[in-house]
Amino acid sequence: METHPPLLSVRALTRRFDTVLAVDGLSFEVAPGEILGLVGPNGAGKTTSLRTIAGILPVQSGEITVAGRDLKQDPLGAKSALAWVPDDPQPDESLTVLEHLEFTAGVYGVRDWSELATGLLERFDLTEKADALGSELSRGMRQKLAFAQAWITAPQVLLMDEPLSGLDPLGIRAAKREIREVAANGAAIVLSSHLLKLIEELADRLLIIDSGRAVFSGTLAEARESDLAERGGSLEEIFLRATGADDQDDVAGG
Amino acid sequence: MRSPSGCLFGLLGFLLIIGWLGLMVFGPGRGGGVDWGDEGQSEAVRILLVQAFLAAFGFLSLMGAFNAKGLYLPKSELHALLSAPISSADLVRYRLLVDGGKTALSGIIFVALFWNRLPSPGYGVFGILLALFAITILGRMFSLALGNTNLWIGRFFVGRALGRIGFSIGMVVWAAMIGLLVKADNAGELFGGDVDMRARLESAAESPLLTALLSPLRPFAELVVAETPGQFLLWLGVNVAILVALFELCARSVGEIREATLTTSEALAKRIGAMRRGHTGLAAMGRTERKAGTRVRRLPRLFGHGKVGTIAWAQLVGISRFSLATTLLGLAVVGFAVVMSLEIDGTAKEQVMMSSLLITGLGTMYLGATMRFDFRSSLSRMESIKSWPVPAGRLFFATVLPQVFLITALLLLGVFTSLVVKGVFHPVLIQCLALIPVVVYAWVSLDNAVFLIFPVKYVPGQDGAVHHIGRSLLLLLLRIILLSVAGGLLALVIFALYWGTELVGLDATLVERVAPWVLFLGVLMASWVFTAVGGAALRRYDVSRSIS
Repeated sequence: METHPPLLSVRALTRRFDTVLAVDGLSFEVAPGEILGLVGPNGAGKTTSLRTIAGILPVQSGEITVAGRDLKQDPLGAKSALAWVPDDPQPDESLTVLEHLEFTAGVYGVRDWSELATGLLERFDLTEKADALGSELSRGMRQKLAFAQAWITAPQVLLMDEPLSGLDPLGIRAAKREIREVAANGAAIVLSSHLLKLIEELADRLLIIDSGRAVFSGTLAEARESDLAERGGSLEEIFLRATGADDQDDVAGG
Repeated sequence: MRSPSGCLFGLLGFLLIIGWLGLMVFGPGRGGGVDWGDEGQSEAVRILLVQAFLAAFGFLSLMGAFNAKGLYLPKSELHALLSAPISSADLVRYRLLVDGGKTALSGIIFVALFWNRLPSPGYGVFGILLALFAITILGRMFSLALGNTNLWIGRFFVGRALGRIGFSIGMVVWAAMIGLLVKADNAGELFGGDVDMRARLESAAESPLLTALLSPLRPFAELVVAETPGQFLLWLGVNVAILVALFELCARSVGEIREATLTTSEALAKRIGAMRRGHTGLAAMGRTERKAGTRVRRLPRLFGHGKVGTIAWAQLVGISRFSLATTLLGLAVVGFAVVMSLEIDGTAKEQVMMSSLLITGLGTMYLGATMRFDFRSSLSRMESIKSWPVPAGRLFFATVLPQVFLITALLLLGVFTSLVVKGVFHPVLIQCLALIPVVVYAWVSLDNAVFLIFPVKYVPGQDGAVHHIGRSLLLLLLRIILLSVAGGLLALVIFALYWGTELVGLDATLVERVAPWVLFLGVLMASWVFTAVGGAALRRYDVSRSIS
């Protein structure tokens, strides 16, 4: 069987804020076409990990390689191959939706962006909003625009933090379809979400982190086989056991 | 103020405020204007002057009501209070008490301002504070009436742009004042000069129309100018009674204001949020939305299609779409500098150099502080910005470039206007014009570099305002010191050139020709250093500071 080198490789990533250890020696890899579901309780270090991989926070300790480029040695090369969809996208209030796509294409050096933009506006149901300003967009529209901005760069690695926030059921269905399609085209995707159902539906592999450390890494089937769950257990049950939250639940429940 | 440095900055801010208030009470300008303690001045005139001041404050308060119809509730309390089992009257009482506290704080500034002008400052303080509170209640009553759909006035203003009405009334008043200034033969006549100001005031105080118009404010004015314990107690009682009556009238006549309250509170929260994100001008006023159906104008890619050009283009689009008022204000400031530069005398060369220096110096400092279309307006998007594949130094350069472009354009316009009006020209103008963009860039880049290293900005409603005033003051000082160091180094280089030519016996005019270009290159080098520092600061910028 042919194996591809991972498009995203994270080795012993550690991140500290003053005295707080947010990420503690985190390691994982994502292969082309693979979707990694990143889950963990609030404050587990998911967003900090993603922000560091996206080059938003400096790498204090550890190694990150994006499409073969070391983030520390070649940050621009790594960033060019990567797209980041934050949990609460903040568009430029004075640019229109179409101008946002023009802007992203300019910053990422995408040629012939116009046709791509037209297609993306259609796919994300934004055609009617093409001339709307960033300040006029609803939460869901901002999320769709963030998708379109990420998609126009044709990323090799896609990082998404709570990507379905604010979307209506139709938007959620379209977003899931698009995410699957990007993966099918060979991109490596890290998808962080509290929606375990979404992770179950989309993710090929699962990374559960707690207090900045990986407490489980593997496929959903492997998780179900492990002692984290009874055979056929739900992801919710696996998650609660992996993070020790079920013990607290028992105590709380008496 | 949880850390030692926080305490230090807090103390500095506190000392600054105390110093400011002290300057107003004991400073050299305290005797300016009309001395209310003058024994030759009649009581009628004193009362008239107090009433005029209160009327002006009341006018501003009523204009403010146009911007906030209904009841303003902070974002954190809005839904909780409207859904809680609390009567509208109690909600109004609660907000009036909060207003009272804020009025008392701002009243301290007025008290400091008038302390030496009051016949009996100890009595007058009560008068000023009670009057300001009463006016605040009146303003609140007006805003409640505007938002009360049970009243004709509330129904009349439903869907109308109240802010514009208030703005228009304000503009008419300003135009009337300017008209008055123009009508007067000269400023001296208007402000006293040859005319007997006292006689005019005495005459005004006897006017039945003016007396009738200002009569509602008379009880407060009487307390402000009270001199004896008897007068003080009498008018204090009257004022307290009026205040209690107004307070209850305001609370009990509240009506249906929930819809207006929601709209107003959300709009104001949006405006405060915009200011927290660093927006200025119309963007901070919350006017970042267009009328339905209006098309946005596309701006050409003035700075090219590369990465730097793209970022600069987006910044320029923001300026052109939402910052017209700020730009017009900038133009007015440059106009003021131009008027000042017309007074400069000397040879053509001196006039050109001094006019350029005055307009550039004043304009850069002022416009650099008010036209901040830079990282301060991008704080909410720093997470995205830092993920772009653009070198930090270039990103820094591209972000500040449009602001430099705009300020430079305004300053060049100012210098040209000044010289055309004066009708002077000298070839040195070319060197002056070449220096303007690099000087502006040096200041703006330094300003932004320091901001990215110490991202301190004061916004309304911010916790620890005193602490932030202290820090902002120190950081401004730091910017000025850094610029002075760069300027000092350049002066040393030019001095060394003079000294060197004298030493080797060369003609001094050679240095005079070379010196401006040395200055140009020096400022350019300083700009390069500031850009490199700014880029490094941007790389190190912690997004968790701005995104919370």
